[in-house]
Amino acid sequence: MKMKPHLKTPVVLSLATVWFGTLAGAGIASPTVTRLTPPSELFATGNSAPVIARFLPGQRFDLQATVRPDSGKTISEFQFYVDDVPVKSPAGAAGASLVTSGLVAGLPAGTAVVSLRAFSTRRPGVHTLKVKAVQSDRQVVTAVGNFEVVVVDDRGCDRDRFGAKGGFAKNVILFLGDGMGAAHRTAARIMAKGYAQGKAKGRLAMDTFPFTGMVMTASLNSIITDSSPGMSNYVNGNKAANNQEGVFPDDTQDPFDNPRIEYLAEYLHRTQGKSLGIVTTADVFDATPAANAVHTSNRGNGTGIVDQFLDDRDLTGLTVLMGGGRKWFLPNASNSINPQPMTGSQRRSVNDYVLPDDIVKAWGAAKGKLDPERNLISDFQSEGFFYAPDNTALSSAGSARKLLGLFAFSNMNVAMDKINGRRGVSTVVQDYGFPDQPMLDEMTSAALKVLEKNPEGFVVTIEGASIDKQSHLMDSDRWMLETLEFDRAIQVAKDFAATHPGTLILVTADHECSGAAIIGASRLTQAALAAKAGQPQTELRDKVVGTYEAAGFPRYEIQADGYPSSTNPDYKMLIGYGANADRYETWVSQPLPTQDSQQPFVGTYPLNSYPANPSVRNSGIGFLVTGQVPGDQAVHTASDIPLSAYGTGASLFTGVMDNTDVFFKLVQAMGDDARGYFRR
Amino acid sequence: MPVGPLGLEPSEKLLGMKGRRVRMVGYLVHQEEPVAGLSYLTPYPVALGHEDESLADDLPPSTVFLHLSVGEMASSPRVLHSAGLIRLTGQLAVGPQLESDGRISSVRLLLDPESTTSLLGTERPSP
Repeated sequence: MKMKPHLKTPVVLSLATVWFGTLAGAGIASPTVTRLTPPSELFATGNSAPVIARFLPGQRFDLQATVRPDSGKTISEFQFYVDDVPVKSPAGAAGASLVTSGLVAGLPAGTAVVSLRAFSTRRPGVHTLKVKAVQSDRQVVTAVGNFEVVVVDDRGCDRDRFGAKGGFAKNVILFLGDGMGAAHRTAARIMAKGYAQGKAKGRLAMDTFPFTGMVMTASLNSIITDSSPGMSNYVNGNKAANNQEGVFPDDTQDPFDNPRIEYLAEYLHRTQGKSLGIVTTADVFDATPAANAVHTSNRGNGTGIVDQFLDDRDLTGLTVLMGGGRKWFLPNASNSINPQPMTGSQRRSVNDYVLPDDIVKAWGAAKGKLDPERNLISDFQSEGFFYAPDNTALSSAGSARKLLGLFAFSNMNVAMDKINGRRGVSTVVQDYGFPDQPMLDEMTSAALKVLEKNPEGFVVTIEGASIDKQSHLMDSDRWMLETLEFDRAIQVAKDFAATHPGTLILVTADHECSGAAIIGASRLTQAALAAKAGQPQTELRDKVVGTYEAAGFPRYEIQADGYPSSTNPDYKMLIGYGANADRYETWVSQPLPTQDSQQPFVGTYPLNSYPANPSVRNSGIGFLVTGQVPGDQAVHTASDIPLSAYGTGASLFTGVMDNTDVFFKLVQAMGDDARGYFRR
Repeated sequence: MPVGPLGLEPSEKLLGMKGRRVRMVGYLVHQEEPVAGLSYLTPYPVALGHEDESLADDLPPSTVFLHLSVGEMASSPRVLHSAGLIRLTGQLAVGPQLESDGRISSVRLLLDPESTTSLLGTERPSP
């Protein structure tokens, strides 16, 4: 029976369900197992391949099942078996639970979610996973699935460089260009380096990495992923459902109690004492940064996510956390305080966390508390973190051993607006309230200065977050500058690797966004193009877009700060979108991050100018490009992602690979083996 | 709205205008998925809300939450986007408050009926 997942948290019926025992009556009812975790094709369809869930030797993960009893009955006992051997949580009975309340709607009364937390095994190969549940009338149900423990051998050993004993990566720098596909990289190169007679006049830093692979990015429940599984798949070796990070789906309402998979950072901190760094230009609670350290089925639970960054630092080794998101770290005083202080806090109990005891006992995780009044900045500082609210403070963080940087209330401003602010030609960052935001390369440099202090090494994820955000908005020039900012940070890491042997750098993306494509170049000068604003498609498209040889080689003048002096040069590069929403295209950069036509001051709302089309950007001055998708923003695509690798162990990252394969290759590069010890 | 290392630093002028009837000029935030009865005014154009964004948004700290006047709130219409600068009048409210979109506002404008009507127009189709 083939089941097509159609729910956000797929629930499937097991073909392998078996019942035996006495029938209570003439009916053929029996309890059923409707979910078995980790997920497997064996459970879902009866096919033993492909194996969905894979783990390192000793990597921790939760076992869980949802069991539906017969009407009027309850589930009284359960046991998990691996290869027919009963297994226990490392916390014993305290690490197991049978939960019948707080479940999702629509389940029959008495349904039980049974869990065994923080299981692990070192034996390599494919293993059968079985759950046996006993109903109150002693009827028994079992279900079978499978998972694999991946052997990590010593092929990560860079023998050519380090001799017979080999060398392994001590530090991993993972650059995640959110939404960055091949076209984004190519466009950034054209802008930054230019071409001459078909030859690129220079290379982006990421272009110079000697090893290249292609990454398949599907999530657990779709060919089109989002940033939650897009990140966590890389760093725990397993698929996650969209909107979920570091967990498998379950049937409870609590977003923080889902079955966990140990993250790379947690595994390495536990086994090697490595540190974790998270650097992003987004709000730090956002999916990509969070999916390196926090386990949740709801990427939107900001308060609980940021709290766990600090509360579980002993599990993850978190040492550096930088980005936007200050709004989650500010106290939100209780209503009993009058007058209410106005901090701008977005902390709320409804998205905070309190973990069930089985996770606390088995994983050693913090219990948590519903505490919107918490002053998280102060708590970070109490734990020895240097707090930098702006670039000036960041510049003075040199001797810090732990670093917290919160440079905006939510997302940081995009590179174009930060650079224009520094050049004095824009006031967006001032209007935003954060005039002194660092660039990503400055953040990277500061992070590495702190992380290198750990003699055991570190893993850091550095995200260029707004490549994706500006691609959603189909703002071509802004995502190109985001990609340039991202590449400048990559150069900082490459320079670091040159002086820190045993460093591995990967550049990749969680998914492609918008179906961006370089379609050609403008046939017109900037002035002539600007003069066409408001003209119909026959003018603004047909007489502007130069395709094939008419595109030539667009030239952008790059200033000393590394960014173009203008994104509107004569004969500029033109971008089309395969996953676009409706938009009005002018081809001209707008001075503000969201391109809204700036009409003169109006006394009342102009009803007759209300657009017939949902997208209003450039309406009246651009020509309509009808979208492939509904709504106002472009969407993610399923295109494979180019991956670039540099440094120790980089040669492992070639060929077409799944994003979950990257996790195992990373650990392989670091030298783990089935016996669980690391060669230094 | 000045922002310091430890959060908002509202000016004495803003705090002194609490509860008073004011006139404000700004841009209506473009919402991908409008929330009934609620909109936002910002000093420059902002687009808000796609499924990949969640609460990691681009709203500046100075965002003013717009509440439609009571009668209109009862019928929960959605304020749809309009282009360009807009002038609105209403009563200024200052202080943290939980909103229907799940955010906590710091400054709100409780719109006059005239401003509410001008935002809503007549016979708007449902999105």
